[in-house]
Amino acid sequence: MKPGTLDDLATLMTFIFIVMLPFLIVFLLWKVFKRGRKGGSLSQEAPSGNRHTRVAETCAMLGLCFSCCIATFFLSNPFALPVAFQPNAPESAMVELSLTLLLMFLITAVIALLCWFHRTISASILLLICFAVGAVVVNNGEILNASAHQTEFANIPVPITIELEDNIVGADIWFNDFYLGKTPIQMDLDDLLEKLPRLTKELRTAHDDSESKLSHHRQIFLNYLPFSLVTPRGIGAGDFRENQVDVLVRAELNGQKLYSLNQHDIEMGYRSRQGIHPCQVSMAWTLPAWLEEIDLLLDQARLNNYKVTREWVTSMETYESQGWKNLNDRMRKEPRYREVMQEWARLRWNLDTVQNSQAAWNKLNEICNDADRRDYYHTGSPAGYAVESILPNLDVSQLVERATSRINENLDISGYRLIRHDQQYEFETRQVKTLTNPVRTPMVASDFVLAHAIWKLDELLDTTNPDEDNPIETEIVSALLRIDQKGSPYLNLCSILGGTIYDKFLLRHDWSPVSELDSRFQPNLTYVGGVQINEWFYKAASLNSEWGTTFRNQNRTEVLQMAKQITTNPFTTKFEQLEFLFLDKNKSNYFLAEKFRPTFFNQTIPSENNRMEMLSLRLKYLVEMQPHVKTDHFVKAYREIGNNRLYRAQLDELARLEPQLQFEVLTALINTSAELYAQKPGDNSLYLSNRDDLAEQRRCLPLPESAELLREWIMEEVEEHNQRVKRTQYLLTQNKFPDLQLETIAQTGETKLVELVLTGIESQPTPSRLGILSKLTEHPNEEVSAPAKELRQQLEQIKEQPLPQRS
Amino acid sequence: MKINWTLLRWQLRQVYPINLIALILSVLYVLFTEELLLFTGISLPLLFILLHVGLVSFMLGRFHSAASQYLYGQGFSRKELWRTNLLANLSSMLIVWIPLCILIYFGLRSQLQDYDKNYRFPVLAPLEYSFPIAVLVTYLLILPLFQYCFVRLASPLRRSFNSVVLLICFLLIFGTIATSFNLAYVPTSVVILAVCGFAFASLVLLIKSSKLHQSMEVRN
Repeated sequence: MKPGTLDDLATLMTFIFIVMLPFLIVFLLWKVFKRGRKGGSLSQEAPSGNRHTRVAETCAMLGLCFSCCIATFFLSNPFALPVAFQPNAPESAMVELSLTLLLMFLITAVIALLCWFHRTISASILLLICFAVGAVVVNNGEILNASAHQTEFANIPVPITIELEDNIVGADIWFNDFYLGKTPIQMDLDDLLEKLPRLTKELRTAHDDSESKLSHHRQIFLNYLPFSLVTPRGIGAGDFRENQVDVLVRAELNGQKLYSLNQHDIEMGYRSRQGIHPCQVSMAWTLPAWLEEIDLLLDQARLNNYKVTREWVTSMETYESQGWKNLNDRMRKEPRYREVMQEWARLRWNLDTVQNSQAAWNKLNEICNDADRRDYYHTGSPAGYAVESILPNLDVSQLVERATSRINENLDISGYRLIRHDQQYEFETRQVKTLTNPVRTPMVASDFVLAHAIWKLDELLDTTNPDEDNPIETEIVSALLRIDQKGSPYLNLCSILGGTIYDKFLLRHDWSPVSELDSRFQPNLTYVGGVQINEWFYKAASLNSEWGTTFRNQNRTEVLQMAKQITTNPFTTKFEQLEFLFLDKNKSNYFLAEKFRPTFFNQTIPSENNRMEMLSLRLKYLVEMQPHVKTDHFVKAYREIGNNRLYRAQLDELARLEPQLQFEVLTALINTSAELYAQKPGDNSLYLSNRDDLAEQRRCLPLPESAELLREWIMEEVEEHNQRVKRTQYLLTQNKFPDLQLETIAQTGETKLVELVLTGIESQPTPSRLGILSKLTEHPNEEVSAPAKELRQQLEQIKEQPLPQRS
Repeated sequence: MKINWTLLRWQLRQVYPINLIALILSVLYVLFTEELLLFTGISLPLLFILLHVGLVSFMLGRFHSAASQYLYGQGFSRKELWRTNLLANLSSMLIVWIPLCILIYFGLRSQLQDYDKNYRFPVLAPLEYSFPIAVLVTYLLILPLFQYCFVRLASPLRRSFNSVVLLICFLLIFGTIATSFNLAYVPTSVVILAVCGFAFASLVLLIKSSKLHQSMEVRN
């Protein structure tokens, strides 16, 4: 049976029923009439219904009337009851509820009296009319929305809370140079919006000077924070304010300028049918001194071979999230800092005591309670690392049972923020919690702890037994699908967990091409890269499992066709939208990305302006294809950029290639630059710049050839020798060079070049570089060993410095 | 309370064909419906229940038929006859409802649909567990109304058409609420409150139909 057939049948039957209803009424009337005509019935002489019958029918009408009222007032306005019993509910909500109940009582009384003194038929007709009118009027969302704004909540202030993250209290805050007070600030949003001066261009430019900027590790922090207070979508036309208010924030702590660490829009508080939604502005600010102190702590950890003590953890904890966020930043560039984070988590959460499943369970509960207390959780925090550390000891069934029971409470999982760093996902709790559905339970911070544990445990179980479904993939995925079969947050989580259940669920959907889809399946369409595509086909093609591989193999033509559709206009295409082509890189002989490459690369570039975006996309595509990629592919893509300068991001893309392949690709691209330069000798500056950038990147590779190239390049006796040394020095301070390059330069034994090495060691004194330093201190040449010894002494001093604490 | 099985068999004999057809239809529907059987938007099941209860009540409520005249002339007390009539109605309901429960709760429907590669099964099967309860509640709410309607039509009181109007009014309101409102967005407590109103009306009419049955006319 085709899907939808029974729907049609139901519609037909309902139609027949509606058509037949008048006939049924006529038939019954005729039966009654016929019976009356026959005569001889006792009813001719009987009273017009005895007392008991009237009582019964009146009672029945009362029951019906009660249900009608409930349906009209509460089923059509599910928020009415929750609003009335909210802690901050306005008095008017309770008055409205009381009036509703009174009205219900009046209608019921009128119907009952009519039924008693007149006839059931009159009462029934009146009831039906009341019900119909009531259902239409009350069920109209606009009317309710408008009335809610104007009557229920109009006089209730919408509170705005302004605070700084990490418990920074007592900081002075200015919005558009209007002084608000000291944090934490609580005020009325309407009052604030009334007094707040407009953000003018002058005001914006007045703060945009060099003094207001703080440069720290290539990052620029501003001492003002521009953001917009925006009205969330879907609130409706009944809202009372403009949709966006631009604000420029300044903050000072004890007379010292604070520098902002984040920049994002903040949901404005608002009034709706559900009630008052407060506005919470939570901003991350810092002092330059704190950044230096955190740096000192992190440097000390590195100088101690990434080992930290309990005292170090205590000091670092005083900086709260700024401490572990900085550590996370360093971890991305220097993976050994992960050891510091793990040690921090171990010491903070006493993970040595976790030796069995019961202890692991207790620890998880402890972390959950801490997250609830803070109302915040981030997977990259020490708590997140603690969760990952206890996973091997955690009882899977216990975790699954708790998570399933929580999901079965009809959990609303829309309140999370997913962050992608390279190929890694992180997530954190969102600050704004909006009541979207009265029967859904909003998530609390501990739910994120459970979600994190489930996610990582699933990965762990998949590694140990990839061929079998684990309880997470059966129980949790099923529970999530039962809540919502179409909502993207639920399906996204299911796709992360995977498993046969999710695979089956997707592959059994109607994933025919859009042209073949029945009009009833229009809601299944989605836009990918600006093209309409069957959502189920796209999801099935993106399955990262054996089933997904089989699906892509069996439907190669359709999948390639879809990829072609998505890249019709490549400038609206994000690389993530083509990831399904790369899923079988190591699984199947038929690698879709390789098959699609000629089609994709032969697409014409419609305008000169889009050339660079196209190159970025193509480079990303090729990098993702490795090892099934050749140097020629990059050369071909590069040739198409025309007379354009390479972006830093494009060079960073190339940096994701394996070093040896990267070396070959960069060499080929340098040669191509030379070729292009030869072809167009008149206009060469861009080609030369590109060639220099490519050559510089080649010199930074962790390969002996690269190190040798660097050595030759610096030592070359040319006019711009000093510039080269300065450039190398700069790159060393930015930690661009691997240890190999430092060692090669150090081996030259030239005093000037050794200074460069020392700069590199000073900026990143890793244990391996300290080894180079030791060698330099023992160098026979005093000019080399003396500054090396001096540096070693400096580093020793850093190591011995007292542990700083946030004041 | 003693059940007169012979009398019950006699009553059920009249509704065998209806029940048989209802059973086959319901089993086929439950087995082969691809959509989830949910409490919300139950237009086809609601229509089915309405027709089934209506036809069974009509067959058992033909108090002016020759069969009724014979039965009511055999010396059974009116209470016993009414009780048996009600039991026959309830048995008819159970004939449909018990297989429905078996098919859903024992997973037969889920297995068949899974075999048929329906994406909803077996993963979403637990969502259907509330469906038999909704069907039972609907049967129990509607059944006394029809019972009352036919007894009232046969009673020696004027304005017996009131019962028909009451029945139509009840069905229209109940049908609208059951099919139009998205009960998934409504707190359970509010749904229970709404059901309570209907249940009260049904209970009152059930009790009254028992009383009216005492003075009902059985004649040609």
